[in-house]
Amino acid sequence: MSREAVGSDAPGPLEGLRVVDLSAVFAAPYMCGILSDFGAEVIKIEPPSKLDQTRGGGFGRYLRNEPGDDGWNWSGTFHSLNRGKRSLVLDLKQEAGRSVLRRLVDMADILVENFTPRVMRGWGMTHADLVTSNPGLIMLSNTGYGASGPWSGFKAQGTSLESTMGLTAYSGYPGEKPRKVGQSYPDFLAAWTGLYAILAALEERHDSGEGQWIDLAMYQLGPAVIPEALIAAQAGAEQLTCEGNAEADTLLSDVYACRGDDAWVAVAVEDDAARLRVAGIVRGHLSDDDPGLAELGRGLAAWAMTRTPDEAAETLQSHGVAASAVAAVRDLLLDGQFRHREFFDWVDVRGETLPLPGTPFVWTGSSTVMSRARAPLFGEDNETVLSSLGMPAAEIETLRRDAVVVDAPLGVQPPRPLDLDALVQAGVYREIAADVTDVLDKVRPHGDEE
Amino acid sequence: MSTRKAPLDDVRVVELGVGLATPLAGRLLGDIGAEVIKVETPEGDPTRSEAPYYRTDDGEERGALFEYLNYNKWGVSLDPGTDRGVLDDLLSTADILLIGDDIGQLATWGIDVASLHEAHPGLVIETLTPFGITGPKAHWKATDLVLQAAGGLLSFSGNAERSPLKRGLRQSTFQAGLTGAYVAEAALLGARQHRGTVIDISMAECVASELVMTIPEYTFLGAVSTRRPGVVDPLSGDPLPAGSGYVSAQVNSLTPISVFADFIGDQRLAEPQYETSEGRATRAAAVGEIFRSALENEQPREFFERASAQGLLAGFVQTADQLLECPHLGAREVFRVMPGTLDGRPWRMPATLASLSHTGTTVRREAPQVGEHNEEFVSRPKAGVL
Repeated sequence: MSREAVGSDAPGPLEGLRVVDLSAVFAAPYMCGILSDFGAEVIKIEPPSKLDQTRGGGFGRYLRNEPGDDGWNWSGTFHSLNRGKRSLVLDLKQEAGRSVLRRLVDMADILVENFTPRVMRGWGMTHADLVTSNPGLIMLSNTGYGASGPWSGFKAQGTSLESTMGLTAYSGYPGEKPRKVGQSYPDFLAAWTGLYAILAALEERHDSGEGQWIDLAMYQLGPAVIPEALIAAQAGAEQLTCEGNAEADTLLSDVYACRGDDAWVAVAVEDDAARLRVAGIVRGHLSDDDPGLAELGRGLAAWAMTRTPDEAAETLQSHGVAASAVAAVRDLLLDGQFRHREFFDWVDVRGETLPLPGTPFVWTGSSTVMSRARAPLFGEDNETVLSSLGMPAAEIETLRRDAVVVDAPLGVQPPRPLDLDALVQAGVYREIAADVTDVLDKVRPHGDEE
Repeated sequence: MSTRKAPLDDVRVVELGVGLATPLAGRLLGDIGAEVIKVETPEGDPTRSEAPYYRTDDGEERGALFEYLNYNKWGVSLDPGTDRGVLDDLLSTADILLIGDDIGQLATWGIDVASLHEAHPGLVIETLTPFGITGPKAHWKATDLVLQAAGGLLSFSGNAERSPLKRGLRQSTFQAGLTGAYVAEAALLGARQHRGTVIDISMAECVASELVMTIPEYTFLGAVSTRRPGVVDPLSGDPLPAGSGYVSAQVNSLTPISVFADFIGDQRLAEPQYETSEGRATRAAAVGEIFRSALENEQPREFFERASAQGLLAGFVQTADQLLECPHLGAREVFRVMPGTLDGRPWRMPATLASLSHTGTTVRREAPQVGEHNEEFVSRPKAGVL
């Protein structure tokens, strides 16, 4: 068992780049996790007495629900987002901590932070300050509303932002109120957009030799994924609303209940040729060989009832009709397509080899993109990172003595197990599955390692 | 803005792209300076004929969505099936080749990615298709609904007593376009040392890559996420009716419910039964009614601005027309004026995602007509003449 994943020493396209990651929670940590997949060296700076919410607190999901005395090291959410990084625990409230940070930033290519705008200003660490000693530095600041504009100072969090961004207005059952869908979607839009901006700045730096500052406002990303609604709003046409699962570019689309418990198939009939093909498949449930869409929907519903979601989807796809089982995580792990493409990245966490969500592509060439290691334990790389600055042992000892650098969280209660039964009762989880170990054993890759 | 060059100033992208995701990825590369050549068959990208249409200054009608996804590009028409030499010549001058969204087209055109990689070893080749170009489901078709089903999102979206519910419109397709853009940039940076790469992106996997909490909930805990009960804590951010629309409000450890009670001026909300999330969930109707009556005469935007100014976590449901008029987006110059008119008036679309201090998003040209720039980029005779 090792911290690094098998094959992690293969060079990535961003090999040789160094990232200092001051961020917490979802968007910016994920951005930096993916930079690590690309081969960059990422140092995550963590505060001594406030855990990243995905390490402990609200978003902690501890291995086997046994956090033990150091649960902050075993959260699956944290490992997914922070894979491949190193951890240095540094008290930035002390000048000595900020001084170490400045030395690290002076050696870095990229600095990512998601504090409220006043924090870095207060420390005298704006991009303008930092480039005086490191002109090539690229810095990304991720905030809810950005550094300019009338809402700049407002607090934001994914869920409330999602409504304001325009994303919920078009998600909901037909004719009903808007709803939030999925997890913290704005965070993921920000992660991908941040990468787009950082990599653009790196390209530009090849020419100018200079870095720049990226002001990433999550709120601003909403319009980019709802262009149809923006166009409709200006076209004098009927305004778009909540349409449930009906898609404007199909004749008929919905989910249909299948055989099994909470089993569903999603089907989209894109054009008239597909309508007739579906009519052929579900003929036994139709009163008409040339059914209208309502009749076709009823026929599909009756047909799907006697099939599993995978059977239904495979039959429809073999006739060129867009369809898929509504897959839960277990299904994704077992799915032939996801397995063929090795979507999941496997890392060792507390003695178990476990899957993390990987990158959504297969990368072929002389460089490699992958989760290079599990996420770091709290402060796991304190020594290594400080030594890499050429810092003598005595100085490191002083930093430890003054609690500028700490090896275990200060004043933080160890996370407690989740009350899983209560969460099932409350409907947050459908079940606590007994089959997870079997599923993982079945799909875990067997490499050359013992 | 200084005089520094655009990031992809000297980069040439060939886009064999139809639909939404690949064209968005291509345009995003164009926005930061790449010379993007959109190669279409003579019939053109089907998105050209998606309504509504805007009217050009010359009085022609053109698809508005196509314009949004394809400005900053040049247009070349050829039939990759028969004009192979022409395509190869073009690719020999390119840094990046984008292919998608329709995988069926690759076979029709006789395009084999591995042999392209062999013939152009320095080229970054990126495909962006629903399930990827390898594997047993490579040829499966998808719409946004199907992507959300296959990517795991639908299994926990919607109401527990009802069917799974998709995220609206084609948000999952466009998010794949964002992924397409950053991945191409990473490969381009790597190409300096490692030469060309083939990257096969799956749009369903783009959806699955969002599940950074749901996946470990199962793999670390065995917990199966599901659709939420119909009645949830109204102060967990779900839209609440207020005035003429909906607002959202989030209670957390820093802003307890009493702060919201003071804020809306109704102390009933501060009663102990509403203190916990569970308490509010079981009395959701009562909490909703307190909010509704308190905010009856307040516009959602006013509530949001007033609450946010006091440091509360708040939001309001905005529709597209409100976003277009949003003073904050206006101040940040997010929208650009598009060419021609829509419904007789000038129209605007988002053009800036992130603000870079020395690299503006540039808009250099309108979306091309099919084959508009054949003379500039295709040195040999056109299709059918060979």
